[in-house]
Amino acid sequence: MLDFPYVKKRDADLSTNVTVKTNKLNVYYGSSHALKDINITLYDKTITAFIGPSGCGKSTLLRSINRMNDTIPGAKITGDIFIDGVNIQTESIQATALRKHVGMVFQKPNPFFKSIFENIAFALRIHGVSKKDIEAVVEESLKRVGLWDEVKDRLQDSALQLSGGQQQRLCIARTIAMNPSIILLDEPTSALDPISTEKIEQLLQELKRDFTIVIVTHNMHQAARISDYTAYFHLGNMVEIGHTEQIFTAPQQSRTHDYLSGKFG
Amino acid sequence: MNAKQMDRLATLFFYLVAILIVCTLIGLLGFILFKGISYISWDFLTEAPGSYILGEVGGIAPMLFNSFYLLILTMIITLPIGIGGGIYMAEYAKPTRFTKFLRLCMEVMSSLPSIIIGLFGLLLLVQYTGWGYTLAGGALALTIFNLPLMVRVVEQAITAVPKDQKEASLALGITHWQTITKIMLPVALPGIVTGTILAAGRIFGEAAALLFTAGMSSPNLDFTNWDPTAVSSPLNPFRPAATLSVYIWKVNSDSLSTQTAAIVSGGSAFILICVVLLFTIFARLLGKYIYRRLTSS
Repeated sequence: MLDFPYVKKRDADLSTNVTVKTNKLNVYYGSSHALKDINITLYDKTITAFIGPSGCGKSTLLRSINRMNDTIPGAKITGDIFIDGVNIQTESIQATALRKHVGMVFQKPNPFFKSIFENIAFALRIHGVSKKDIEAVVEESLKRVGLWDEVKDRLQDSALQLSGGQQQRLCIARTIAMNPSIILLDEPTSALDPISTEKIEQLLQELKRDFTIVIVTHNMHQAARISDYTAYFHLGNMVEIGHTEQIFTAPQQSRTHDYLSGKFG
Repeated sequence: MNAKQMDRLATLFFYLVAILIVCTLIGLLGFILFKGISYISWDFLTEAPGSYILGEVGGIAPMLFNSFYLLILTMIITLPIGIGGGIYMAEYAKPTRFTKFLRLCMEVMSSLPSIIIGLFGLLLLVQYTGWGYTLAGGALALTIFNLPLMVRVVEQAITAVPKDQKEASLALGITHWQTITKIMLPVALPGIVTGTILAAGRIFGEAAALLFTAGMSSPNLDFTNWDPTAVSSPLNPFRPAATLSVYIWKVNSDSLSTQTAAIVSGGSAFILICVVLLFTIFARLLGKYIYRRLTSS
């Protein structure tokens, strides 16, 4: 029997609009075959969690969606990834333009070594947002992640003075300031304490109204609590994907069941 | 002897080695500074040299100026190339055989005997170009050792920037080049500044490479004429210039009076050591200051 006391109930009004769809996606790092024939569909304004043991390919898939794998020497990708129907693997798609549309938050909070204000303003300025608009966007983004009241009097202080949880919310603010449609999160709470983790999880529930969210997590309970869909990966294969409620109560595959019951992983 | 005794013995040995190193340094510096300070006077620092061959002491003002000016000229040449090379090695060079070969070339370049560089400079920068002994020739010769050092300083400073800073920037749709200039270089700057000033100390004391490039004498300098094209202007890069280190060597080999040689070299050594020590301290302070400013912490 699987024992997950806090499984998110299936929302009745889940969108059926496809945001991301992959077709026979394979990723190789040198001679290692990191992802094998992945066909996955992600829906608009939902949270999808990728779970699985270390090295199963969940982060690799995440990093394919904003083409961060391009920055790794020796990475080779075959197959297609469609975002809103556009194949992002074609050469005419610029990675820099794609990454404005698909934001990413990392495992360890990584604010720039700059002021709190500048952490958000920096990328906006580079992308040509006017000075007047920048201040408004900074304020709005900080409000949306619930950080505004905590930092509004010290926007010029170094972001490194914030606590880990605040830093991670700042990184989320920096990402949503770009007004993306998809936000990718790579184990965003694994370096945080339980209270900061809870704040981020609540925040994700709010952000779901406006963004399609994909989260990689090694914490099965987190996936059960917050996601609408869960995909289970093992050794580069996507073993199973389904509604979170179904995956955590009645997985179809025995490997998923074994992982969720703690038999390995 | 059991393992525990061996451990104690080894620890004792390493302590002794450390003490030996510190004592050598303190002894050397103490001797030079203690002996040298008695020769220092306002005139020694501000006067032109006397006829040292016949035993006149005089001052070291032109040599001191030449040493600093040559350092600045060398830095003007090496900094842009060194920063460019460092960025290339840290961010663009793929781990190919060509890159390995490049690294080997730089190691060889920085370890060439400086007198050989001097002779090569004589051939190329003095005779082939027809410039004669010039500051510019000296600066180019010094570039040969300094450039590999600068490339390594910049490369290491950039590589030491946490990888997550780069990823954060790229993930916001910022280009690689903007990521380097706006995110990575500011974080790397304290390391670059510290490394540059330490490398400057090495140049400041160099003598052998300059004997046959910048020359062993200076014209009579007119410190009121700052037109860089004038022959007697201190700023003219195409005039011969003996630096402080070269001057120490020159006086010792030419002077008929051993006493004069001792006074001039003792005083000059004092100044040289002071400047290099100040460089080292200044490098650390400036590095820390820039780091605090740029990270607004």
